[in-house]
Amino acid sequence: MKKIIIIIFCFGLNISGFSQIVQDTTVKLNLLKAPSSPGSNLLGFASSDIDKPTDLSAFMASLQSSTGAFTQLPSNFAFEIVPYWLFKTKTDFTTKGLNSEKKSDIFKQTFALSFAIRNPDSTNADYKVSNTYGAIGFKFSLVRGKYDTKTNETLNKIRNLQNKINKGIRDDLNTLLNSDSTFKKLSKLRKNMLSKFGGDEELAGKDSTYKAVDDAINQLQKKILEKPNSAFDKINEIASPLILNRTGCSLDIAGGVSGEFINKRFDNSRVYNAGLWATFGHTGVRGGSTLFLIRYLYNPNKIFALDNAVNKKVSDISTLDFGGRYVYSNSDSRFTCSAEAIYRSVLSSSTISPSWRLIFNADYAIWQNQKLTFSFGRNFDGVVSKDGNLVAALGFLIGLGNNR
Amino acid sequence: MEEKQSLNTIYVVNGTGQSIRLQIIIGAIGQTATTSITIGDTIGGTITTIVENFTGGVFDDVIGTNIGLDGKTLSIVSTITDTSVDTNLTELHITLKGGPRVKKYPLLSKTVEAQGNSASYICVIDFFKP
Repeated sequence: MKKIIIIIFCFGLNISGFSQIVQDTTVKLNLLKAPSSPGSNLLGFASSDIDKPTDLSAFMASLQSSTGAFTQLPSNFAFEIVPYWLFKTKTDFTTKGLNSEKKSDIFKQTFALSFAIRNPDSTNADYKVSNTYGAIGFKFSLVRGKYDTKTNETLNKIRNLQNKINKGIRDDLNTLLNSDSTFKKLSKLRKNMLSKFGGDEELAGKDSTYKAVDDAINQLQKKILEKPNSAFDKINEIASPLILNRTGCSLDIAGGVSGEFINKRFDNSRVYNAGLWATFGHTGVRGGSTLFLIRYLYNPNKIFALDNAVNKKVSDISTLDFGGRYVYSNSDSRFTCSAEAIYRSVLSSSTISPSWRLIFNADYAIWQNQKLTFSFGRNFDGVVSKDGNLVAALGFLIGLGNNR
Repeated sequence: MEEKQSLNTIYVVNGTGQSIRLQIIIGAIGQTATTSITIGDTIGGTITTIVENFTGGVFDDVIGTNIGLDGKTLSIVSTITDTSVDTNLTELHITLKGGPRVKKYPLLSKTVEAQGNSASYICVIDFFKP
């Protein structure tokens, strides 16, 4: 009898779709995440339309182009800058610096400002054609996890290989500087010519002979970099699949506000929409990760508490939503589980009730292609749902037990 | 913008004891780099290592004085690997201060083809008192 029950139990594990009510998976916690560029996203700019200059000259060129050589405000323009990188401050933005735990470093490396301006046309129903819209946003981190052990090991391997490459180049360079007679003669000639120009490099640079000597020196030196080195391929093998994973706590803040300038006048304006996001997270070394999100929106385009109904903006609406998620997943373990909860509300209206949702999932890999699954949830409308083949198998066994 | 990985030039110094400061900034955001900086005396044949196997992105330090560096050669060798998911640009910004002029050298940069690729850079600067 026991053998029959075990066989039926295993058969039950293979039955899929024997479920109660299917959970709604369209609403995800990630909806509450801060946008990558808050100021630009508040005015509906897609990420691909946001300019992200990394140096001042490119930034000025972009501004000049969008403003008609600084003669007018841009019609539709969005950009995001990382000020501490753009102005080349003494902040380390390489992977060495990005692993720093100092609060000041974390802030400077993650602080970004976004700006946007929109002059809508009649095709966009969210905005009035007669008005101009401008937005400003910010984001930064206060706490950041460190690179995990595997990431650090890979980065150290890369640096060791880089050091080998540098050593080879230095040896070739020393040979050129100290032993190449042509190079030495050209260097001496260049210095003598510069002396004749009184040490004025700008003036000397206009002389064609000086320029030719300088070019010849640079061509000889440039050849060193053309020498092949297998270390480049070794670096590529380990660096191309590299993902910079972090473990530990994180705290990110983002926010933005947009204004509506009535009839395109700066002295007649009101707040159009705004948002504030906070994200707390923790990633464990052994595979557990936790995430909490809080979002405040003023006049959002869609009202989350009303199943994302379009906000017709008849009156001002403020919404507050928050959610949390815990995920456990370890490549060395057969067991994974996750739990997620979301709460949504409208602060400025007593007619729209707040609602919440809870989902719990767990699965256990018995064999490579066989899993025991279980899920349980309560949707925003209060309906409880159960799913997974474990629920089906337990129900089936309970049925067998009752028959006895 | 023209991409360049090698530079050989002169930095004019005077005969004073004023310090010469070298600043190097490595990018773009999220890349991994290793740099070595040496000062060579071509007459005496000696090479002084300022820093070897430097893995940071910012170097900002005094490397000598005007009178002390006259006739010597600064060599900067750096290899930058693209470990950033956001960009394939690698770049090196070099500035020298303390001589008669502050010199911000033209950007050395290379956009590699894909994540994992690397670019090496050489910058040689002769200190010279005319």
